[in-house]
Amino acid sequence: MSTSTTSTVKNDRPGSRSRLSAGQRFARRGWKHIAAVVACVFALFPLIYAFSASLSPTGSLLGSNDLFAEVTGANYQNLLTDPQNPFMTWFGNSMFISITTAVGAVLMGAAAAYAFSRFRFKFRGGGLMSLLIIQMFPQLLAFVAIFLLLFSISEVYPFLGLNSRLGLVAVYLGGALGANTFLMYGFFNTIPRDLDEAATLDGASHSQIYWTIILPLVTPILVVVGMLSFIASFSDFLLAQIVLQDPEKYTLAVGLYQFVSVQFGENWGVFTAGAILSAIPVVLLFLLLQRYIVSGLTGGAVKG
Amino acid sequence: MRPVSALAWIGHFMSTRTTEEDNLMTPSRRLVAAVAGCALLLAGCSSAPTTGVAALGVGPGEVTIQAGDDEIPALRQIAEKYTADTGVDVRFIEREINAQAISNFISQSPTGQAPDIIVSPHDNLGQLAANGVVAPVELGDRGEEFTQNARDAVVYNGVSYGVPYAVESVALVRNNDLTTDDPETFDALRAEGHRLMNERGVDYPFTVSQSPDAGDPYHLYPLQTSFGAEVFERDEDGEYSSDLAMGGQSGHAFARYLAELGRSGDLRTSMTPDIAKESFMSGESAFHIAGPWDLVDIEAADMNVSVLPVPPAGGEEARPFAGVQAFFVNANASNPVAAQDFAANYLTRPESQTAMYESTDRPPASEVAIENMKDDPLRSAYAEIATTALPMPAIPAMGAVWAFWGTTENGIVNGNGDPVELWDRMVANIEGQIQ
Amino acid sequence: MSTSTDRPDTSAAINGSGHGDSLSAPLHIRHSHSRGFSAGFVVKLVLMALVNAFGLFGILSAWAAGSWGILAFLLIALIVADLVYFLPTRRVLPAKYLYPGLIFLLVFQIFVVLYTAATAFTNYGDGHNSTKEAAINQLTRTYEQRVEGGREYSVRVLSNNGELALATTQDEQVLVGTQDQPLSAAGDAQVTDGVIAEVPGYDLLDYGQVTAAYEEVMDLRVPVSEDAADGVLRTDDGRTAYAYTPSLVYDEQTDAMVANDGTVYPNNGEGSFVSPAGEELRPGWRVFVGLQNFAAIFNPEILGGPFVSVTLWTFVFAILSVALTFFLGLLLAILFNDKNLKFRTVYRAIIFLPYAFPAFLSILIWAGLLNADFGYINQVLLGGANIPWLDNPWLARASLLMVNLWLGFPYMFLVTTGALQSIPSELYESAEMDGAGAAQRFRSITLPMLMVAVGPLLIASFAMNFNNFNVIYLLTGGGPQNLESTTGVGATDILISFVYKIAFAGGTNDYGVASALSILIFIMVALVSALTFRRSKAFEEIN
Repeated sequence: MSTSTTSTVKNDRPGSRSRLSAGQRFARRGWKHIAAVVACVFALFPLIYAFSASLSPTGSLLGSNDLFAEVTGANYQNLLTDPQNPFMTWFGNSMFISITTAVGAVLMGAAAAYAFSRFRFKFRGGGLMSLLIIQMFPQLLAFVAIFLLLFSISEVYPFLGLNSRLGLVAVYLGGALGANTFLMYGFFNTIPRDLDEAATLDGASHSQIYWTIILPLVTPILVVVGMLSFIASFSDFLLAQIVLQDPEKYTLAVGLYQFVSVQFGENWGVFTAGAILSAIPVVLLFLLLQRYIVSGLTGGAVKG
Repeated sequence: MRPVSALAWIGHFMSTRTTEEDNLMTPSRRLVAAVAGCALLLAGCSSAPTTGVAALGVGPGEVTIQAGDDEIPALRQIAEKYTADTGVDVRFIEREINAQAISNFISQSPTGQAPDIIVSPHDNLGQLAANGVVAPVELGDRGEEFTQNARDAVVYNGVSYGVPYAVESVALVRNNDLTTDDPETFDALRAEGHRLMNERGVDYPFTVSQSPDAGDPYHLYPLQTSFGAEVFERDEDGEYSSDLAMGGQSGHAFARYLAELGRSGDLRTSMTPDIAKESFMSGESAFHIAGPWDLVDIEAADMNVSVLPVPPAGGEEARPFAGVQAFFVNANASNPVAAQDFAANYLTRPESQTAMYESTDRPPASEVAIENMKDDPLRSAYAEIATTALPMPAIPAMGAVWAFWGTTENGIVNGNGDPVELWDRMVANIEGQIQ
Repeated sequence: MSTSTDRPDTSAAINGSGHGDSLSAPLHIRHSHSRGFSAGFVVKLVLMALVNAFGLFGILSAWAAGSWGILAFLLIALIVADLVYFLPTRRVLPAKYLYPGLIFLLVFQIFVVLYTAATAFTNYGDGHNSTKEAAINQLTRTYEQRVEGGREYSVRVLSNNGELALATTQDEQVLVGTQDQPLSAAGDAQVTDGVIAEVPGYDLLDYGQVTAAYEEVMDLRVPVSEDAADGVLRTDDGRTAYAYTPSLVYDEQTDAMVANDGTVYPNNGEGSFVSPAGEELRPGWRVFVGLQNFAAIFNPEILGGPFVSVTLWTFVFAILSVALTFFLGLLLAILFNDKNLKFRTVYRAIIFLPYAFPAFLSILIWAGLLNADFGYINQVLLGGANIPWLDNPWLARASLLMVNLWLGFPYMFLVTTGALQSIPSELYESAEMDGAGAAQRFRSITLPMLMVAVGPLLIASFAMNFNNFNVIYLLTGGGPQNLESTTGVGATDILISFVYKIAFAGGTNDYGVASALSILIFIMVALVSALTFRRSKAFEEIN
């Protein structure tokens, strides 16, 4: 797979030392670029529409098919300077809540996945399946149940109850098992058991094996799960708007949702500007972590 | 001193641990360590619960108000005055009101944790009252200062529940640069619209906000009432009963008119609020049937417009729905007397009402505030038209109406069947749901 | 190499190839052994101390607040935690790793499930929102009627040893009355600047005292005179009072509300007071209604035509959504798994973008793009075509799947990209040496190996789409509607949006019926998932 070394783009690749014909070279890589570009256009096209709306002075979302007909930064300026809607505070809240949730979800999910992957115990198979199935319950009444729950918790742990950021994190962590555990479980299973058996023979305890051998090997999946949890909590507004009541404590999603949640009074311009700004950290995070996700850290290496 | 000694003990224990050869701790040692850990923490927190409980009862009184972000600036001014007079703090929860927010309020109110006062359009009142989550608010003589429509809208089952602050209804917004025609009937409006399409290259005879999936009976209601087909029967006090009044001859006439509007292409269900507003603002239409909420953008664009009543399509007066924005007091408020005082004695003041108008740009509900906006001809016109409007029904049965009404109107406009047949089926379906 | 103790070197050691490394790893562990163990134990002790502190704090404050349910839960959870982490038996080993996640799961997920399950057997919903006591209170209060022609009374709230009274001025004279004592002149009262300043025998409550005593103030009714027809004074705001006559009274003996015109509204046993003529007073209250909500679902009108077709479409929608997103995601993941592909970092970031945006915004934009007359797709891309993307039943279903594909493929891309890394490249190399083609390698290595990691996720994704209310609600609202149906069902309605229509759109929010329906839906999706899961068990054997 490493025959071509040039830096040219797209399908035309002159100067390749390959013995392949142009047609074959195209078949090898050029079609990949075409497919990639098609996929990118598909992914981008609605977002460009949103970007255009965020730069439009009219505050409407779908009024015009002339993209970028009028360009102004007014919506962005509005968003960042309105004391009534402290965007930067929301941003900070979102980062705090999502990072805490991501770390917690990774720790709990990985621990559970380790248990399912390495220990044999009663209810193991059933437990694994139950974790997945419980999360399938339709959350139609969650808005009542979660409120009542946090209201009761408020009486005991005020810092974990209603209108508390940590309380919201706790709610999110309620979903830390389930799909996350599965994602990790499959990955943990690909790490050969001879590794821990050898370590056990050598006197290592289960927690040492977990922290010093297994976890470093499964970094890619930890990163993936961490990021999925981060994004899920970053974009949630249904639960967040039940828990958080004080504008100073809002997350980005809750705060921004206020701009468009009133019929006929939607301010799409400011909302899309906010949505685009709030997508930036998520995308940066992805770029930052991309090499972990796809690094091939374990790759074939662990195969003993 | 127990925490310190326990810590010291654990420290001692740990220091001896490291010298041990075996990696296994004896069970008894582990248990001792566990107990020590508990003791440490028990000691550490024993004083905490008392302070926690004490904190619950202490502190100055507070009233919480849930409102939208355009309402809060005015409310802050009013609250400042109130706090200065009474010492009670006012806290704001910024939340735009929508169906989910109403559901949240209804489910949260019985726990005593919902806001003391909420702002809501009056058509939620029936649902709020049926759940027992709003308290009656007696306006007394101050009620006289509000327009008739505003007063009627906050009455449910003969009891007055809220303090209104704005009355909104749809009207006809005309682009004066395109035409100064003041059509007598809706057909005259369409004729003028078509003339402009032919002569001035305008794209649409008129624009009106619709929804491709749900329809928009609200914006079409003035046309419907001009055929005499009101949604529910009203008693002599103007209160709605749950007997549907849309059926029969008048309803059929409106259905046929809708079908005609659709056939001619004048009315399109695909014209969403964004598209309707944008088209009007870019001069693609001379007439725009819209509520006062579109004025903000229209004024920002410096358009030369007039606000007129929607001309009738049938033989009667075209009466739009009136939506009244009002403050409601939580029946399970955490500070009910203060909340009632703030609502009945502060929010009703003319200067408060004027402040709400200035902050929200909504046509006021108070006669005094209407007097005070002489230099705002557009909203004055809206306020004038709102006096002829019919309050949106607040009765719970209305919930059953919206979905069938909108989708049926869409079906008729799109020519998905015989208009009269579709209309009759809709009436039967709604009546089936109400029972 | 084998003496290093930090993590990167650990993985480097293991990352090498060949047999020698599996020896070096344990070697490394032995070196860090004695130090690691004690440090780990200290960390554990500190953590457990914190957990115990947290638990004990909660137990004590639950005790103080009288929250017995929470107290019991915390007590059990704390004891279990200590047992799990301090019992020296291998039997609790898995529990050590599962406990934290399970606690959160128990509190925040199971609670919602149990709450919903309990609600399914009640009449909770609009009109039945709270307790009977609250309903009676609210009914008596809202059915009090202003005495006709009654004036506004400017009042002050007084207190006589805790018993509240109202004072008002009439014709320059101060009148005082209590619950049992009609308004009567209080001769020695002092009025300064028109404000009552002193009433002998009473304390004047200041504003803070009045608001603090709200329960007593709200219950206070002072008869205007000996004549009951003059009504009783009630003040809501502590400043102004009006005369009211009660029009509804609760009669404890018969458990009924009695109106002053003699109408009796007995408790109908279903959470409402209903007159013999069938007039129901609202609000009612929450009661247990047994299987009534489930019975309502098995009403032929609901279970008839629409239910079957909706269920069918729900399965089609969920299965196709998973299949399409998975294959597109996988395709792109494989595509970009090529280290020599230029710009793959950029491609990956762009592919990922839809996932970084709030889904409801994207759905609304898609709805606009697909608009038949004005949408960008018809107007610009297709040059003025008039394709009814969302208005024709079949096109609407296809559009829905397309939008859901857009929303979901970045997730699958991410997950499969991660999972592809776990497939040892030796497998491919040996397969290639055995002469297996690309397609065969994909079928016999990539797909089965991938399924180990993502198989269950596909099941989870299926379940998620099975209940994907948002995309339906925001894109089509379930439409295009079947105008002939009495339930308002539409071509793209899935079970959960159908539930929404039945339970919420009929004019009242009926949480009881909604809960019963969601339990049935859950049973359905859980059964399907469990069966699929069992069949995919074969994948577990790979290890």
